[in-house]
Amino acid sequence: MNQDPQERSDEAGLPAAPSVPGALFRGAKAMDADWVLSRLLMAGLVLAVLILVAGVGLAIAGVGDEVTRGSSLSALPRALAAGEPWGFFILGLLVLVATPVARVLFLLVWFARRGSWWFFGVSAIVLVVISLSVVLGLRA
Amino acid sequence: MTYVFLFAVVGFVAGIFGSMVGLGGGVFIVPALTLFLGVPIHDAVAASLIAVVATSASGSITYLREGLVNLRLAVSIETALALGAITGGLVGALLDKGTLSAIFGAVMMAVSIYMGLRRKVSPRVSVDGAGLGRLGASYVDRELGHTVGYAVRRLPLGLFVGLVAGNVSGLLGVGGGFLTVPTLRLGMGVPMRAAAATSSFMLGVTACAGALVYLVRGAVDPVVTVPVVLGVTAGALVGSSLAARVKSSVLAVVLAVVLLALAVQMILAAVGVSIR
Repeated sequence: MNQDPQERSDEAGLPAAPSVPGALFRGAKAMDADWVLSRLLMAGLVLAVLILVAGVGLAIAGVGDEVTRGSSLSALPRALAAGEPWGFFILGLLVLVATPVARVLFLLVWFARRGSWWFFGVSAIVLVVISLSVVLGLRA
Repeated sequence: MTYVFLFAVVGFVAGIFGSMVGLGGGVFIVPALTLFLGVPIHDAVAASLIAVVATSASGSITYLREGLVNLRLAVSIETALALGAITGGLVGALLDKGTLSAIFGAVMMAVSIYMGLRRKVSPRVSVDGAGLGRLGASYVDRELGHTVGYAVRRLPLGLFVGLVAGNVSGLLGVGGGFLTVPTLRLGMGVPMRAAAATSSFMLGVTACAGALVYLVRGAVDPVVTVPVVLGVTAGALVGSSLAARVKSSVLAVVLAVVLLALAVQMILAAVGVSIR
């Protein structure tokens, strides 16, 4: 992850030819952020694809009702319990869409732990706006 | 069943080409679904938005590992992008099919022109080390063989374009990278590699905000969306491995021509003329 100027000046004595890409102006904490974020995105993507593929398998096997659209999200637990493909499809898509939200949450905590309150505030605004999309979607 | 397979093929092809030229794939998915497979444009937009989340995630994994993403800049512009995406999603649901198709056609024309011309724009010279400011950053450029530092200029411009790009994304189901990448690069002084990486990272949140509007409203058709998402994810993986073997400037020009043809067809379809 990129760092602020103060941190860069603190680390000005690092080797000029870093063995890790981007290490010249970067510290251990910054490396962790990029590492955790890439793992977080990978986990979300893989989990979503696995759930979607499970749904496809159930649909091909003819388990549950025919896939429908327009059903309320409140029907999701029942659909999952019944092993209906629709439930797996919507859950997989929700996991996928929730992945960027999870990484904003991670950044919120990350900036707070580093005392970067300006960027903590900015991350909080992003979360509020995303939450707004859920509220507006439910009301529309 | 045939259509489900074709939806997956559309996603796969969009994933390959999108990842090879640095786009989310939405500009290919929406016209292919609506013009050739008869999917209603609102369903195509919803499917495309969720597909963009997948391509953003898969692209960002690599960019993060290479240390190219400017997280502070990304999260700053995401405020405007997410806000724009929600407005776009709500407005898009209210527009009729013809108007939405016509707007999409016009935006596709802009994308095709951007893709055709972008390689001719000279890259900005970056600075090393000091004076990078609050949003500035650095990364190791393997091609140049040294660390590149850059300061970020004109944040208000980035926020304004972010709002517009978010709006276009929510409205049309595209990522909006064709607006954010040139703005970061030419307007804000971010080097190309960092601009593409940061843009790809940001678009996940943009598309997520727009997609949530559709998802919680129950306006997502899984029969269309699931094969597209699975296809685009597989395509993005293949495309990223092919990118190094194909000359991207040639590919960009070819795709620009294809997009222009699709744009014309989309606009003609919007006014009730079919040339198929």
